[in-house]
Amino acid sequence: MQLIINGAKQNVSAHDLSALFAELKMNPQTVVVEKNDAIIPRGENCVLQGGDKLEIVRFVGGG
Amino acid sequence: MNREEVFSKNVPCVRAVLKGKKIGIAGCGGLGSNLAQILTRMGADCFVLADFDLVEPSNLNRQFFFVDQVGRLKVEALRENLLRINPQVQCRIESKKIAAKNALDFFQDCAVVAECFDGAENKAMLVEALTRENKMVVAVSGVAGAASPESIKITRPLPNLILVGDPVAPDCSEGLICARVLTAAAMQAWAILDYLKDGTLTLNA
Repeated sequence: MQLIINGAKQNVSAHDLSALFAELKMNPQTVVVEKNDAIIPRGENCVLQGGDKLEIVRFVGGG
Repeated sequence: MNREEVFSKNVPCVRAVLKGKKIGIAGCGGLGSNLAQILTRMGADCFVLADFDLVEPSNLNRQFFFVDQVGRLKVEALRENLLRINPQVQCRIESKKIAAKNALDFFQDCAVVAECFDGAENKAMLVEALTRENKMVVAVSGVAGAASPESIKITRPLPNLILVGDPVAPDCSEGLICARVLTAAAMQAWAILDYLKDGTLTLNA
């Protein structure tokens, strides 16, 4: 299905957030995710539907 | 010494924007200690400084501490250093560890919170915990390594998140260069000023 991830249309096979992290090879512990304008609490999975707007902010260390 | 002279070379209005605004600094290492220094020189005078760590010799390549402060709590040493710039600065210091469930307690009364942690997981934890509660956060990502600081950009990916980050930083970089870390801290200070000015962010298109 097609999602809008960080403003760009993207076809994915995942149907929930944890499968999406695996598909995009992302560590769920180092990202903040907003779905359709609501922050998804860390550690919570959620169902994804075609057309969902996701903002995935990835953090890299150093400071 | 006339204390007002300290700020006489500032761009007019910068101090007025920052003075009296409580700014949370989550982590007082390479980013946080230098950010607090820069904001103090710009005229900020009210901080919540949070860090549980002690000053170590390996911090002195980039952090705003001195040899005689090794072994002391970073929050106490930083408060002392800020007071040497402006004796009017007020700091509430917190030396407990910040976790997702207590993060808001530390910074409830802050106009804005600067995320200045080192590890990626802690960065994401704090940003998630605070933005979800409608607290404005200015965070930093990807400043380790030796890449040119010109790749660091300021963006606003979420309504409550301004990000000073290198979008092409690799997940794992070894070591930290003072010039790159302090560039990020200075950009973070500018983003805080710009946000506090009127709640918006003036980004170059």
